[in-house]
Amino acid sequence: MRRMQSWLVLLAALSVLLTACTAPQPAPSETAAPVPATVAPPTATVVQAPSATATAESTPTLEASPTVALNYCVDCHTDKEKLVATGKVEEAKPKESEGAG
Amino acid sequence: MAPLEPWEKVLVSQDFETSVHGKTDCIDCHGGKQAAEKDAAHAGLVADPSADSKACASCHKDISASAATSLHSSLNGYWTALNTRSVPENHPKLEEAFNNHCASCHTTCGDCHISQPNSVGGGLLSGHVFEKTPPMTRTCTACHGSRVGAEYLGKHEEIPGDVHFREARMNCVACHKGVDLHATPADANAHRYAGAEAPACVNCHPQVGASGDTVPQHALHKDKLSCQVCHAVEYTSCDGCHVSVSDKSGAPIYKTEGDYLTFYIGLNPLQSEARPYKYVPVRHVPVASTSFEFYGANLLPNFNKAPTWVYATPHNIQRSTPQNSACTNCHGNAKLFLTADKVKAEELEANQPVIVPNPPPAVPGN
Repeated sequence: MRRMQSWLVLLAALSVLLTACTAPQPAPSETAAPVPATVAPPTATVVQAPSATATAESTPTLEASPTVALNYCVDCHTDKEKLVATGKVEEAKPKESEGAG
Repeated sequence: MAPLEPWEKVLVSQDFETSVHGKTDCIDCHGGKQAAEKDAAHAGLVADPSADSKACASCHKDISASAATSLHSSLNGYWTALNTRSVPENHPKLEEAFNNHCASCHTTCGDCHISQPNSVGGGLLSGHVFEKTPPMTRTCTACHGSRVGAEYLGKHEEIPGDVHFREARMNCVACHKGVDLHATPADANAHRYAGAEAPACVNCHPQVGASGDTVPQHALHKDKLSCQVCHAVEYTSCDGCHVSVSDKSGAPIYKTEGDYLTFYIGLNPLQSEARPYKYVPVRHVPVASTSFEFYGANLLPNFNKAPTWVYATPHNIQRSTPQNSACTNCHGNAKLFLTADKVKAEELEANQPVIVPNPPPAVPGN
């Protein structure tokens, strides 16, 4: 009888210990809870060179890799507004030649 | 053609970025450097890298090599004319004039395939996309405009454009194939009308003069008349071009005494096996004995060694023309022929090879 009591005490203590080690689970519901998206770690293949035309709203999520080359030529020469702003106004030259060329 | 705005001349399109040539780093061809600030980026910039044939030759080896021989690149035709009318001791002064006034006609790869020519202000054709076939009115007739372009497109009042354009909307390269534009055969290296006709009308019209041809005049006149004698109409001639450097701007300028429409049949000054015709249309070119007087006195002492009325191939071909509608319109009609009375007295000697002394008489019974 005494041995039996010892076993019961031991089992009770073990179950308390096991319960303490497990994380509390939410109560199960009838609808599946949405699984939070896992954030993929940044990879080199999605790195984009920052555009010179980027606005304040476009918050870069990734830092530019030091290996990505900036292409100022293309950035400027594909941007009409920039070309208008920086282009030199060509002075109208008086036509000094006369007759069919 | 309206001139492009400054920004429009250098705006690069998204299509270029995804094209084969767009894969190359800009500075690999244009020099300069990657910098945010414009002046720093443009330091050492080469606007037209194709001015150095090596730029294109790294990939387009054969065509780059042959293009250097073409008259578009070599401009040998100018020197053939200048050398004939001048003497070696005058060449340094003529070279100065040539560099100021003629050398700008030199054509690079980019002048046709990427940009408009400088003579019309330059500017990218299609956002830097390389055009395999250059657009006709923005490249070909931008340079060849005052005569060929105006004739072909029908810009002269009451004179129709060329039938190949009016009826078939053929562009320049429909006849002037790339191989002809990118190379000049050795026998034509000094003059565009030397050597075989390229293109030749019979390339597309082989039935002309052949057995079964339903037009008897073709067989009768074949090898005596160039096709244009019967099938061209009035075209532009020019007089007295004089070149100088402007006192005001320092820019090279020219003044021509006049341009006018003519249709004259002259003797063929370039008669050969390939061009056997006795008669061809002739056009007055704007040279005068004093054309280069600004650079020195009497720089063309051999002015009379080359005609001022020259072999012409007017680009306003018609099936029916005033002269081919009846035999008597040519035969016995001295008005159509370049006779001595139509030539300026001071140019009579120069034009002896082309002046028609006795126009064909009227055909009996007509």
